[in-house]
Amino acid sequence: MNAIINKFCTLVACLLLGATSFASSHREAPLIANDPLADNTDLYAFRSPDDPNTVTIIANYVPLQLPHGGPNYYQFGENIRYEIHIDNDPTTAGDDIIYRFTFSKSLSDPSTFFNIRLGLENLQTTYTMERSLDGGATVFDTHLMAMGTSIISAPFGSVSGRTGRFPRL
Amino acid sequence: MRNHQTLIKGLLVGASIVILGMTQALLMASSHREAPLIANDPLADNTDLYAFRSPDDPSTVTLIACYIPAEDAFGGPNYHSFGENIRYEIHIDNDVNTTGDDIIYRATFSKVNEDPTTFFNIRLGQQNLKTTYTLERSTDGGQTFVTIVSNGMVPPANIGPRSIESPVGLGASGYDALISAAITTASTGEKVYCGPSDDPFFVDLGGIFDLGNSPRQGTTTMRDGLGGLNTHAIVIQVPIATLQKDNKTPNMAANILDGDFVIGVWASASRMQMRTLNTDGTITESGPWVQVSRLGMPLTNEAVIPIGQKDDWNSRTPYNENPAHAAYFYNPELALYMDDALFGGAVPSFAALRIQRKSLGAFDFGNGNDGLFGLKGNPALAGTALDDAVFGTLLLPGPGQPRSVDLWPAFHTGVPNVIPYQLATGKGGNPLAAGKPFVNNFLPNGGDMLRLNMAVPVTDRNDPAFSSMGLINAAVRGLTDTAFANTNIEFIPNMDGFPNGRRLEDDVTRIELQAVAGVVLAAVGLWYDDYSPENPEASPVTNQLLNVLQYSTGVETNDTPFKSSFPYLASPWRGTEAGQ
Repeated sequence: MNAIINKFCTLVACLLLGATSFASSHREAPLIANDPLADNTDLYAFRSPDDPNTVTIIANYVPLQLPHGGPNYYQFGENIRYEIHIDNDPTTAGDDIIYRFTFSKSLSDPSTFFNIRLGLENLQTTYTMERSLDGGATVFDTHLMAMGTSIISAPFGSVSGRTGRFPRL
Repeated sequence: MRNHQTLIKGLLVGASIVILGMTQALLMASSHREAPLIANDPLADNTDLYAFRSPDDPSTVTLIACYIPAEDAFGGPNYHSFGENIRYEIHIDNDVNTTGDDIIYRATFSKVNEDPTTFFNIRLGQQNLKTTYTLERSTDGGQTFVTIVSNGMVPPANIGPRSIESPVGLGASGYDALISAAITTASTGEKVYCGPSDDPFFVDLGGIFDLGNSPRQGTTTMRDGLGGLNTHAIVIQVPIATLQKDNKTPNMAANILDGDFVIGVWASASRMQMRTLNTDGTITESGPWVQVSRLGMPLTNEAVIPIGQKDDWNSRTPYNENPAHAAYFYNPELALYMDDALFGGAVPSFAALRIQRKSLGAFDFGNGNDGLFGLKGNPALAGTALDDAVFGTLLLPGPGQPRSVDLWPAFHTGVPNVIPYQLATGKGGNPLAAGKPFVNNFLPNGGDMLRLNMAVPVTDRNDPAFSSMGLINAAVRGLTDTAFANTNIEFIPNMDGFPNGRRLEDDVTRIELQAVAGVVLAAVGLWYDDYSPENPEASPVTNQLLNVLQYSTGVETNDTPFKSSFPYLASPWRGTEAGQ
């Protein structure tokens, strides 16, 4: 039994925020349907086809964004911990690795009602990525700090604005 | 000034197109996702507000407040509905002599699971998250409320045929039967519907977001960006005698512009101050109520208020407006892009919209200029709305605030049937002479509200004269149709349209853009720059005026027809049919 668990569960990622039912996990529970910024919609984990010595993990949030959903376009929320958890050892309790993302926004030019003007972006979003190797018991190490401007561009921006790769597992 | 320098820099580096694109983007979604904080709280996001005399029952006025933007019809398994622990309110001011609201309608919602053992929303006649509401009314400014609808039914989402019509679902005869069944009459006589509907707002969001491309240049692929999407509406049809301050019926009005029949309408959503996320997965809300969304005139918090002020704007009422926000109406940012001396060249789509810089050879309404302020104290103003002895400094507050005479009253005070706010017809070339009356929705004891004179007759929706251009269409008729070539008070078709209230059909985006371009000034005789007052033979209907009137975003109607009877909104799109 342990061998089976070892074989199939050496990588198990689960997410802090909800996970059930149909649209993978879009609007899947009554309360989280009312809180789209924190609604975890999909989770993927696969060996990277172009770099098989790595695994790619993708966690999606904020369902059903209208591409033209301005004037305040969709983004990650502030004061939310977006986390990806990894269990890699059946003999340890709980998570072995945790990645935690937190986001903050700033107004570069609050005097305009434009989202972007003259190289200045309002609701500009940056993030901090932290990693824990002890099940989250102690302070997270900050691995990647906010990267300055336009890590994640706001309007129409995909969430994969960073070109860097996650640290290898 | 700093703004101007920044913009000049922008033009030099060729970045202004981007800016202008965003301008229009902000402009166009009425009030969907219009401020940073409320964009994160869709259940409480007030998206549109309408107030019009009911076309099929002119003894009543219909009030519609929409909430929850851009609902996907297939947004299951927990489909969109009104939120619990939110106060959805429609406020009415009907008396300039009383402080604050005179009537308030408050709707609150609650949900139950009829069958918690299934993950389906509807199964075997039972519905989960089934939503009901209580409607309360206050007639003492919100001090006390009386329940006028108990256990009101909100129809389920229009999920699909198996959930709605089939025997394993609700077994209804059709979705519209659920709407009909949900319409109720309040104990105080109002007809009420609370439930899902098609989003009635219409605009080419896609084009507008593509760098201000509205109307789209060089292509014809314009479409309603809210097409196929749903919203949730509170629809209340109220007898005019209930709304009128002295309980008069419309046939008791002195005339069709009787000032005693003016109401101001605004809507809001409030939440409790504290939300506790319990570790067992439940949520507890507590504390005093705090307003998180409001809406009166469409587009105010999009096109006029800058982003740093939008959340503040949502927290206020028309009775405690931020005084600093007046500047955004006196010198609107949008006007910069309708003025060749400023940044007009950067938005090809606005090329037809040009503001008067030298109206009648004298008056400059460009941002930062004086407009009519140079007339302050002039005997010619005596007895007009611009005379300090009449309305104080309400409409001519100071120099350098040119739009205090047109955009400011349109959004913040209403427009009185007082010189100079009468059509140029009969003025003999002098805008300060008496002309033809065409509007009176003056109610200056509050700020941003939708103001409706309920004495104005209804334009039949099937009348060939019916126009989505509302009051602008009425003004054009009053100026050009010889049948109206007099200074009598008489009904001109579409005098019951925006900004005299707001009908579902009114193209408020186009109307407001034309208004920013100075069309109201032209209507009262402050003609465009290409009119020569020295030439008595010249027609004031100049090319610039025609350009402004012909401006259109290219999307002038909703993507699906409105209904001819209550609740007038189109039925919600069906989850199994609506596409993206």
